[in-house]
Amino acid sequence: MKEKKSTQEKVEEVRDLLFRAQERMVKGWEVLSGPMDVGVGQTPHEVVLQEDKAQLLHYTPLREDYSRVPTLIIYALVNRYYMLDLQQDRSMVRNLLGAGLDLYLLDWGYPSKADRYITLDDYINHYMDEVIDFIRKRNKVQKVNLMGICQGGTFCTIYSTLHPEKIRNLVTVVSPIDFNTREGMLNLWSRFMNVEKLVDTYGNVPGDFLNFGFLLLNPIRLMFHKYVEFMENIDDENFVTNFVRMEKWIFDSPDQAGEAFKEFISKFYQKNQLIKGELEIGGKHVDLRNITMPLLNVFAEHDNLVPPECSRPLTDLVSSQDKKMISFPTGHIGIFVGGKSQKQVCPQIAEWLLSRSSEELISEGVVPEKPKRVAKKGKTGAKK
Amino acid sequence: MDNMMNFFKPMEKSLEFYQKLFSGMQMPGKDAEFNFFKPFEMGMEAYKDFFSKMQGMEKFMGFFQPMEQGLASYKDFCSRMEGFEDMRKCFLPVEQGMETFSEYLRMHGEGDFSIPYKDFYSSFIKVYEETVGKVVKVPTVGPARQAFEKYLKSVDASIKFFGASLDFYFKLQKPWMESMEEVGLKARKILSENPEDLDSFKELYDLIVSTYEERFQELFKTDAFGRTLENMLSMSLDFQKTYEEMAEEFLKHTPITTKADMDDVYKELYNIKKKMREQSKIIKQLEEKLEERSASGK
Repeated sequence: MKEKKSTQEKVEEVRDLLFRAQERMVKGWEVLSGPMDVGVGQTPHEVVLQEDKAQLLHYTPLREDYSRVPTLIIYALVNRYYMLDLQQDRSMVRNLLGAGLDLYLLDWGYPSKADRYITLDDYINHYMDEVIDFIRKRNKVQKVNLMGICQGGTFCTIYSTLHPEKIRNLVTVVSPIDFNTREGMLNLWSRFMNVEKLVDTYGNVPGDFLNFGFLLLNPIRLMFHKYVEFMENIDDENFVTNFVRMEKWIFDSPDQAGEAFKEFISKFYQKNQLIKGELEIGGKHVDLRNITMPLLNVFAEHDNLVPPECSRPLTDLVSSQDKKMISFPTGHIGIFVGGKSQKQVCPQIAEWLLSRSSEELISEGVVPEKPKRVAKKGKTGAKK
Repeated sequence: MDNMMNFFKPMEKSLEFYQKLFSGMQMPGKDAEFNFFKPFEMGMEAYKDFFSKMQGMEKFMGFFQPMEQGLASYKDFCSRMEGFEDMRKCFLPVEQGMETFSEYLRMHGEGDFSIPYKDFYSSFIKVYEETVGKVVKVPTVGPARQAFEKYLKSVDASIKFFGASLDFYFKLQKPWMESMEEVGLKARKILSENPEDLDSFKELYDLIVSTYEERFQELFKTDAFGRTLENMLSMSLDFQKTYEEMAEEFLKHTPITTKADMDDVYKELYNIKKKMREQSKIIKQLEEKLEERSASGK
């Protein structure tokens, strides 16, 4: 039983509480108005290829003994790639480089109104194909490792079925493959969406429209609780900086090229064609059984955007003999930026890739030259 | 609230003026009974009832006073007109609609959310289609026919969008009210058990967040919500489209490029780019073949 407080004690307690709140507000103001380093995507890299809005980034290897089989990362069209390189101590890119991978990343850019007629065929069979051919030529290899994140993983899976001869290993991270689930609200809502009308009206689908959808997934936490937490920690400089950086990423949502968006919602979310074997991209049939290269399927157990049920089935549907599935007890974003994830996800992916990247040199009798280290100091293309 | 109410002061004054003006007039059928405003009154009563159940809302009820006064004076004015019963027939669907809405509001006030959410939108659209909807669909004539038709279409779409938005927000009301009730009950328990400890407020906050989250998640996972969301989106798109079409109608007489014009350009650009890529690929292949040939000396 607690001792009853006197009125004087209660008054003092409330006074202290108010005083602390006032102190926090003052400090918070100092933090917010002071010089904050919220730069993102700062791992040194250079743009090695540009086609329309798409840019191919090559990261400067961090080790001398890096893998000679390059790895290309394909991010989703929704949001920006720098989630993988948000800050130095939470950078998937940096961790993979540190493990010895030679990394490339395709930045899709921000589609403008002029890009509304771009289709999935253009994204997969043109932009991705051009970039992969460029890397193969640049690194003098027959095949590259392909790693797809979220929607990028769906693209990588499709690409691997259509061009298996160019892919050494396939890694999919939190990638939707089976869209027929009631677990994800995006899956549920998309089923009712009149996407034809949406694209017909908007042209490109605005990023803010998608943001509204994401916020609606959990309005209390995402529109209210999150900011209460922010206010509670406003005197913690580290917390504030990370918060502002994450906010920057969350609301940095490119518009979606209309035709491609229409195709993605209709063929994947509404008709679930990929898993049914009914999908055609650019007039070519997409058959998951064409995937024979080693596959690593990574997903997050508490993912509410791409629930595990959406990712898991891929492993059973491919013809690969060498395939592995790993799950982590985290969410869709946590898998990239969570402290524990940084220590577990990246090392496991890197180890899996590295152990399968040396065989190629022997089996194909090709000894590729190491690519030149071309990144110059200060020319990083980092986002501020 | 006082400042807010001051805003309505001029309206009250003008109502008083009209009341005095009309009450002084000698009109035929002055004492005829007329129930046209019954549903309005019922709705108002239901609203008052709903708000009066919420703590501290009594003062807020004053907000409806000018509206009630306005309705009363309007009713008084109409009751002095002879032959209004015939005209009233035109408004029967509105009356019925208003009765339905009053019933919905009454149920809402009593915490019963089942019926209004099930068919609110269809009822709204039915009332609209039978009244204003008929007016906006009347064929137009004359030289400005095309522009006027587009304007009417835009009005039609805006009203339907309004109905769909109401439906959407009404759907959100249910988990909101249920959460409020649940939090109220649990909070009373927490604070009565541990009134001295300031930490219990943190507990209360966590309770609010988790309760609201849970209730909203339950709603969001239903097909019914998916359909309502899609309906609102669809109606908003219709409204945006008709609005844009109307704007384009006016812009076509000016030297300004419209969205439709630009869309044509974008499509052409896309096709040209695609063709160019194919040509470049062919040229590249031919160049490679030529290189191979010259390398082999053929």
